[in-house]
Amino acid sequence: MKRYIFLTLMACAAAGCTEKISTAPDLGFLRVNPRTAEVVIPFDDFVDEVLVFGGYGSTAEIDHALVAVDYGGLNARTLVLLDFYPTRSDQVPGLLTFSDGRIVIFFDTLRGIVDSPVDIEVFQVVEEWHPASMTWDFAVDTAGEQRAWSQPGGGLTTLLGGATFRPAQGDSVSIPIDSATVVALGELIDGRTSGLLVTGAEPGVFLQVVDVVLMLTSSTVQDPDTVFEEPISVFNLGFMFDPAPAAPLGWLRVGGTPSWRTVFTMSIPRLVTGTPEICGSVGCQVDLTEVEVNLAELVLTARQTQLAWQPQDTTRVDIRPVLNPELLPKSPLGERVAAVPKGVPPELFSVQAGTEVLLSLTSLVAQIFDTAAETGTVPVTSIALFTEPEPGLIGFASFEGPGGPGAPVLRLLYTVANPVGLP
Amino acid sequence: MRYFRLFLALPLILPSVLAGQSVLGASGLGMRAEPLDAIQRALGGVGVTTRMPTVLPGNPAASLDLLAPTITFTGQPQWGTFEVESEEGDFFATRFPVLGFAYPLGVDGVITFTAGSQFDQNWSVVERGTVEVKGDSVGHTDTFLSDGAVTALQLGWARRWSTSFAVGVSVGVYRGGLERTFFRRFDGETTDSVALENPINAFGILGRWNHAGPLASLSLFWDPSPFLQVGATVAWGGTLKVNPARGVDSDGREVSIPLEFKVSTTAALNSTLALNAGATYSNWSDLGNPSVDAVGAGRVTSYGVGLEWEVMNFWAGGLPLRFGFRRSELPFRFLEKKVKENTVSFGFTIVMAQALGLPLAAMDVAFEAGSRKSGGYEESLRRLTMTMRVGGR
Repeated sequence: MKRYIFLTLMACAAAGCTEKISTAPDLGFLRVNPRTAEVVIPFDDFVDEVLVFGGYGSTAEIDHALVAVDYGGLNARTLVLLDFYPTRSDQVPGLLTFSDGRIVIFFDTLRGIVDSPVDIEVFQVVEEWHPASMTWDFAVDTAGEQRAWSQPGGGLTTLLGGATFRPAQGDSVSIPIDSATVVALGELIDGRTSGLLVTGAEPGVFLQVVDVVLMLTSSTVQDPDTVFEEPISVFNLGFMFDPAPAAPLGWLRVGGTPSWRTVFTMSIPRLVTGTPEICGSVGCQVDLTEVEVNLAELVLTARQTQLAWQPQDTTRVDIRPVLNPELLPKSPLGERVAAVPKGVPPELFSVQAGTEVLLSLTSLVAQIFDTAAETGTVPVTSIALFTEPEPGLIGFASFEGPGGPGAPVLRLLYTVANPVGLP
Repeated sequence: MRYFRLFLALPLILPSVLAGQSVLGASGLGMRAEPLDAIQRALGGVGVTTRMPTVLPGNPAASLDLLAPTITFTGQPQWGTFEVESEEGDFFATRFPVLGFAYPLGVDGVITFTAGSQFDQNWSVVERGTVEVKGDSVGHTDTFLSDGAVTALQLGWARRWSTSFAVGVSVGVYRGGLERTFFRRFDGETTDSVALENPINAFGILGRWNHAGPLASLSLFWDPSPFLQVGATVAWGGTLKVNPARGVDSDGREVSIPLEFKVSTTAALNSTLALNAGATYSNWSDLGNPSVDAVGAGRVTSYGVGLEWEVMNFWAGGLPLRFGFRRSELPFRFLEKKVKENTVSFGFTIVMAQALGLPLAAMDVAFEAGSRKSGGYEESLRRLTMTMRVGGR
C-alpha cells in the first residue's frame, strides 16, 4: 500500500507537466514595438483596367425558370420538353389508356413577385429548340448552327389552357386539358415530342417556375374501371427572356443568367504613405513587401440594379485569379482567393444601394507581395469576380465603376515590428 | 548497465521538459534555476554538504558515501501568483531540475553524471489593444511567448583522500534552446460587437537560438570531527554562446558566466538533530555582452539555514523532518531592480530500503513557500520538490 502511495505522488508530480506559464501585462521591456496601420489605395492607384464580360452559362443551367410579362420592361417565358407517353404504369398493371389531364406548374413563392392572383397560360410548342443555347429570338444559337424561332419567344404556339395562380392558396396552379389535347401532346413531330411554353397573361407578372408536370387521367385496358393519374416526365426546364440586359457602361456587373464577370487587372503599389504612428511626424513611405499584410479588401459600392434584374436572393460572389488574361473572356481561373464566396444580400441592389461590399483579397495580396519581395517587382495580377454557382440567379449584382464617389478601392491593414531579438 | 542506458536517454529530453514559470525569466539569460534536490530545498541548502549521500549536479563529492549505483530524479511543480501595478495573475509549471547517476568506485571514489537546470526562460506577456479599421475600433491581443531553458550536463569524479578530506571535480557543457515568438491576433468583431465581414490575419514573428558552452567545478569536503562537515565548491561557467538556430535570421551573443563560490556546513547537534547552513557568491557584471551587462545584478549572494530532526523510524529507516529558510538574489535585474527570493521550507525523507544504515531507495519531499520581489513586481511562490533515489546492483 505504501508503494502505491508513493507511486501516486510521483504520478501527480509528472501530471504537473501541464503548464500554465506566467502571463503578465506588458511591462515595457519588450522591444518588438508592433504597429498596425490601415491604408486605402484609390482605384486609379491599383487598377490598370477593369472589364465586364457576359455570356457565361445559359438559362438551362439554373434550377428554375422564369415567367415575366412587362416586368420593368422584361418579358420571360418558360419552356419544357415532354417525354414520350408511357405504355405501362408502375401504379396499375396493364396497357395504359389516357383520357383527359392537367398541367401543373409549381412556383417559388419566396422569390418572385407573387402578392396577388396571376393569370397563367400554357401553350404547345412544336418547333425544335436547343435548350442550352435557345434565346428569345433563336431556337438554336450555337457556334455551328443558328436558327431563329419562326416567331420570337417560342415560335408558333398553340394555346392549351389557362388558369389563375393564387399565391395565398398554394405554390402551384393546375390547368385542365381535354382528351383531344392529351392526344395532341402525345403525338410525335418528326420523331420528337412536343414542348410546353408557360407565360403570364397580364403585365407586371414576375414568377420563378420550379417545375412543370403533366398529369394524365389514366386507366388500363385490362381494368378500365380503375382510374388514376399518370405523371408524364418533362425535362430541359429553361426560359427565354427579352430584352437582354445591355452591357454596363461605367459600372460593374457580376452574375445574372447567362452570367457576367468583372475582371480587374491590378498593379498594387509597392510603396504607400505611412501613418504618423509608423513614421513619426516626418512622414515616410512604407514598403509593403517588408511588412505583413493582415487584411486586404476590395471595397465595392453596391449600385441600384434595374428592377427586372435585381437579384431575388443572396448573390454569392467568388474571386479567382485569371491565369491567362490574354485568353479573356475564356481564360482559365485559378484557386479561390477567399475561403468561401461572399454572400451579398439582394437588398443592397435596391433599397440599400450605396452600401459598401468588402471582398477579401488577403491571401492573394500577401502572395503578391511575397513574390515582389523575391523578384523585386510587384506582379500585375488579374482577378475575376463572378457568382458561385455560375449562373445562379436571373438577377445580377451591380457595383459602381471608376470615376465616381463609390469607385472601387483597395483597403490594406498591415503590421510592422522590430525583429524578435534576445533580451 | 541498464541504469547507464536509462541515464543517457534522460538528458536528451531535459531541455524540452525543463520549464519555468515566471516572467522574471525575461531578463538576461533567464531566471536562475538552481539544480537542487528535495533535501537541499527543505534545508535551505546551497547544494554542497549533506548528511544523506545523494547525487547533486556539479558536486560529485556529495555522492561519496553511496553504497551502490544510484539514480536520482527530481520533479518540482511550482505555482503562485504575481502582482505588478494593478495587474494580477497566477502561474503553474513543473520543472525537472535534477537528473543524476552515481557509480561508486570502491569505497573511496565515485563517478557521477548529472543533468541540472541552470536558467529558465519560459514566460509570456499578453496585452490588449485596438486598431482603427474602416473607422471602427477593432481589438487585438498581443502575445509575447518565450520558451526555453539552459541545462548543464556534467561528468564528475570524487575521491576521499583520507577519513576527513575529499575532493571532487566535474566538467560538462551547457546545452539549451530558446524560442521567442510574438503574435498579434485580431478580434473577429469591432469593439461595438459588430462582426467583421472578413477575418484579419494574425501577425507573427519569431527568433530561435541554441545555447552551448563549457563549465567545470571543484569541490572540497573536510570533516574536522565526526559531528561536523564543511564543504566548498567553486563553479566555472566559461563562455556561454547563444547562437541563432539554423535558418533563422537573428543576432547571437556570447556571455561570460562568472565564477560561483559556495560554502556549506553540516553539524550534528546530537544523535537526532543536525544543523545545515550555506552561502553562495557570484559577481554578475562584466559578462561580455552589453545587453546582458545592462541587466546583470552585480554581486549576488544567497544564504540558507536549516534543521534536520530524525524524529522516528518509518518503513525501512528513519524519518527525518527538515525545516529551512533561504534568501537568494537572482543574477539578473528585472525592471531595473535586483530580484530577491525568500522562502521557508519543510520536508522529510521516507526510506524504502536501506543497507548498513544508508538508504538504497528513498523519497525526499520538500515544500517551500515564499516570495520574489523586484521593485513593483512581486510574486507569491509555492514550490514542491520531490526526489526519488534508487540504488542497487
